[in-house]
Amino acid sequence: MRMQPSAYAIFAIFFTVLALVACTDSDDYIFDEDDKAVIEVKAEMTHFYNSFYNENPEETSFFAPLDGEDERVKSDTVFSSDTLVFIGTVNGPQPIRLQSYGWTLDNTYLANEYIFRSPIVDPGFHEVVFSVVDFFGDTLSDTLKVWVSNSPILDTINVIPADQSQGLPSQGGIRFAWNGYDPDSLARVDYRFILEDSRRQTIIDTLIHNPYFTLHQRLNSLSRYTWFVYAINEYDFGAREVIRKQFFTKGADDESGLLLQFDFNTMAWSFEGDVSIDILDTNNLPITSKTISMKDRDSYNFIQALFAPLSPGKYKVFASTPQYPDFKADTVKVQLKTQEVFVADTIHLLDTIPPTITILNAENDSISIDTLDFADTLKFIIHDGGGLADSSYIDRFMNATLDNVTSLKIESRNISQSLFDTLLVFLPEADKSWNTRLLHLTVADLSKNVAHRTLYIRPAKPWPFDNNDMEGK
Amino acid sequence: MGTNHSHTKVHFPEPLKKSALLAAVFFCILFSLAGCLDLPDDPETGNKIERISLTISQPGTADSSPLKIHPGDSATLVANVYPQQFRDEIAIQWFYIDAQIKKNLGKGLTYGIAKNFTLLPNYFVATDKEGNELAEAFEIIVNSPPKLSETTIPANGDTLWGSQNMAFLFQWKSTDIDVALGMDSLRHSLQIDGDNYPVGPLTHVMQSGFSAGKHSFRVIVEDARGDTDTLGMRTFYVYEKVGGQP
Repeated sequence: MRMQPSAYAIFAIFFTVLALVACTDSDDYIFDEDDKAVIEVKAEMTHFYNSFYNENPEETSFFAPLDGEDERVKSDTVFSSDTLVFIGTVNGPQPIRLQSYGWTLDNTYLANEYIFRSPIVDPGFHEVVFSVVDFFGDTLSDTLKVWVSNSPILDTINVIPADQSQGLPSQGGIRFAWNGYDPDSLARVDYRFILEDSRRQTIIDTLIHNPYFTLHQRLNSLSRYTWFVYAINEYDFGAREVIRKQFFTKGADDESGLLLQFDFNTMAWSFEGDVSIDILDTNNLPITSKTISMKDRDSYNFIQALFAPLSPGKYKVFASTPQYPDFKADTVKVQLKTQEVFVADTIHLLDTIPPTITILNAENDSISIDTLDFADTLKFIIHDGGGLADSSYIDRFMNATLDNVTSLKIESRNISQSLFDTLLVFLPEADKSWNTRLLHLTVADLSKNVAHRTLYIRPAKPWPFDNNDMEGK
Repeated sequence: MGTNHSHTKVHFPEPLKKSALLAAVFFCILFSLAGCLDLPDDPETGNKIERISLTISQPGTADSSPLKIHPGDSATLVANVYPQQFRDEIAIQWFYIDAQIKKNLGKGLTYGIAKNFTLLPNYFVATDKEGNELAEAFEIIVNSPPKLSETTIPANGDTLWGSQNMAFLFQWKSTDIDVALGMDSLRHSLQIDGDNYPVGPLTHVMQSGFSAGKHSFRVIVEDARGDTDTLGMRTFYVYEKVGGQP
């Protein structure tokens, strides 16, 4: 019997398959647990703050967030204006072949990148999922949780009582009301209410859940108080606005008050003197007076003085600083109304008098000359009635050139209850010259009043005449 | 020996073959089209009623979607059947049910609530003409609206003496029976010269910032159920007081 050609073909295919199978180690296709490769899929995020908090860190409210910028997290609460950076990683012991990867936001497509930036603008809770499908079709994923919110809003205009309100009751019962809300209508808004007296001492500091507050505490009559409101939502996001308003309590029917506030045109806050204040009537007859220590200035470096009660009417205010006679106050005329506290907060104590520079001779007597012999040390007395600055406010010019070589020393001493400074000018050896030279001194006081003094420095004597050892020989 | 096979063939006339073929094609198209048609269900088994909603109407108020009535007023509870053409095929039975009793209060698409009612329906059963039933619980809120007293400080036309910074007292009075029973709360809004100041439950505040001249204010109160009362606009005049004397 003869085989048909088709039978030959079948045998050929059969033996070929048999050969291929024989060449294959079937053990390679048996699952071995030791050979397993664990693939780790990780999703993380970080975020950039919105521009307001980056550019105005000092202007953010009390509740500004303090998170780190580069911190990678699995869950976070962010502003809708924040830009989020999503980072997806796939780790394994060997190169991993993936069919696909991508991100979803609340089960909707978001991106097909490992790392990308995107804001989430819709307020509320969101789930961001990073998913990969590996070579075998298995899906692996990791989930991020994001709460998106916006800052609460505070109306700083329409508040009760309005700023600078007068005549509020001092026996308690002041009602405060304002308007605050969450723009997303999702988060609860709480408030921090603070009440301070005129010396910035805290009277009330409390957290409340409603935009109103009733003060039952008694206050001083005819006094000024400041109230603050901060808003924060349940995600710890604070309002950018802060309510800061002042009010005054009332006195009796025929009483008024006068609140004076001084400042200086100077850096003289190291002073420890007094400010003397006199209240005169329109006929310049003294009504009352008060002395305030400069140590009692408030945290804004203002000195305040409250005169209450006073009868309604017109008055003059004089202020002076006995220890610093250079400071002169403007004469302020005020008119007081019944049950109101008049605030004079623009009283400036001005020092417009520059220091004086006096030359001392070898016997420490002041002399009125403008020519000095060259010497290693030149002595000057510098006096100012408003406070002298240190040597950094003294410049010296040699022949019209700013001299940074000549060294200075200031020694303070009291003469007749006044503070005088002895200025020692040490001329370097290199300044010895055969010519007359010009020494120009510039001295500024703490109020930046400047005094100038120009002196001729006679040339040093030639060596034979300057050698004391030669004299008398 | 030879055998003779005779083959008999039936021959149709050519025009007949074509017409039969056309008829078959036409029949198939017709059958397909008929199969694609969405035939309506048997009327006896069809789901005709989409929904039944309840509204309440009281004299002077529109239908309220929250089932809310004011005590002391008569009202009508209405079952609205959608689509409306089936409203006559639905029977509504009104009940009051609590842990102890189940009382049948009446039948009909509307239920009249008397001024001095003792029980309000809180459950209905809708039955169609085939006997299918739909039962649903609901609640009718009985809310007393807030009421503002006509007496205010300042009164209409009052003259107030003081500077622009002098704080003046604004006072009013609001009442609500439900608040007294601890079942409700009131929020007030003070409108002065067009500016709105939400003041919550406060009924008197002191406000400043009034220049000499004519000013106006009014108060709006709203309870937690959304009922409101508004006072008519009050006018007051501010005159500057200098040196303690008007």
